[in-house]
Amino acid sequence: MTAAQIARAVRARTTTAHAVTSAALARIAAIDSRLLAFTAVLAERALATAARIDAAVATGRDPGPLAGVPFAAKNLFDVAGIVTRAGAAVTATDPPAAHDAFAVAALEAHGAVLLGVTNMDEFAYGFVTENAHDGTTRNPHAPGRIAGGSSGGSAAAVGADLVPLALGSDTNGSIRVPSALCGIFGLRPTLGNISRHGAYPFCNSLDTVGPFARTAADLTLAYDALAPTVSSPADTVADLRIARLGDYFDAGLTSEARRAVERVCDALGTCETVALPEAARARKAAFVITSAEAGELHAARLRTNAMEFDPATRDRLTAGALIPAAWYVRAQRFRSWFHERIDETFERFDVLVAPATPHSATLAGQKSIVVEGVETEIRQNLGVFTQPITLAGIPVVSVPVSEAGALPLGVQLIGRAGSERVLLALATELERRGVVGATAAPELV
Amino acid sequence: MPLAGERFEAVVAVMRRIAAFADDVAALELSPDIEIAGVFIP
Repeated sequence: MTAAQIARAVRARTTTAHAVTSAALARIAAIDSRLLAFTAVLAERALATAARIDAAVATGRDPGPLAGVPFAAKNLFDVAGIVTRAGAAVTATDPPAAHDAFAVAALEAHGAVLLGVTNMDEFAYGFVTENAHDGTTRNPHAPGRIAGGSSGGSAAAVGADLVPLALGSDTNGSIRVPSALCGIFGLRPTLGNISRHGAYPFCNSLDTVGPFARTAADLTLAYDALAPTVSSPADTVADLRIARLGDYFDAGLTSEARRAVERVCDALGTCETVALPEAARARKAAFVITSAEAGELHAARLRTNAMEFDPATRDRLTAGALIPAAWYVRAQRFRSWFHERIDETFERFDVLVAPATPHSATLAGQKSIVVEGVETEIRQNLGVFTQPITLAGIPVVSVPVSEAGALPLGVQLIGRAGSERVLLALATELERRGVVGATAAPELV
Repeated sequence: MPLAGERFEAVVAVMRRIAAFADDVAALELSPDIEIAGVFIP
């Protein structure tokens, strides 16, 4: 069932939050040992939350538009009473969180039920969710393959239908990449539109948090709960000026990824292709800023506990902590300049369309892939189309596109700052027309 | 924890990659008068 269907049924008393929660916990127990989406299942808390929702319904009170909807949260969100590990071992001895993160509390305030926390790349520094401490989260569509990252556990949990909603974070693509590889919807909001309070930081000036869902309607429900007072409403999608991003965004991708973009553009009647000025440099600037801020954040622990870090992140964080300030300042200066180019582009268009990843999910443990005759390193290249957009701080909905018999891919719908609801309306319309949509993953039991 | 041996080499390799990216960004030669905006995020 979708989140909307569950909430409707719980509010109408045709089912209970307890029944929905119990069924979801049973499914996680049956399946997740093969998926490794969850790092901790919080059954006691979930059943207590469900009991409160059922009690509210029984006494005529409305628990909210997410009544009884199970959800998961990436394990960088504070959850009261447990340690916020952020995918690391070095954090395991930190004190438990005293309060829930804003995003967790917001979903529960609207009636949702937190079932557990999910796997991720250590400190959100990666695109694969191959975690040295917690294992590799598997792709629900092909368990031998990666789910993407860094919010891979949350995306896999939604993709495998363990929960209809999940929370992730996106600094350079960590919602959009796993959304694409797991064949679901994901939203990176405008920088600052959803509070990050209680979310473990990665790169402070680029971090965002956002939801995953299996339908555009559910993604909208989650966004409404997370950002109820911001973002302009969408009146219509009929008159939107939409362009396809070319140049940088039309190179180094597989024919399947290119067809996914063409399918969306054809459905939207989008003919014009536009180049985003200096997109390649935008990716590089985001890379420099991320390295510097993440390195600074972890410098103290790297001095004392370096060997407790995941090897996949340790050396990158160390390097980031050592780079000259001039590199960082120039990258931030470029960022200001790039913002102006983005504003100019959005004077001509309302929505830009681009691939989310250059290819579909690769095998777990695979290091490189050849695309258009060029061998590239997967860990570094999966975010090649998400990272430039990161620097602009603008919202993106990643929509799932599937060909029969093929692994899912994602397409980015990119809007100007504050246009989340326009993008969500467009995703809803594309889903209604059957152009995009989550497909059922093979049964993992 | 001393930064030596294989770890040193690995860190230097990452720094070279960052340096290459930083050099390319700098090659645009943007005016130092461009204001670097402060970022407040709730």
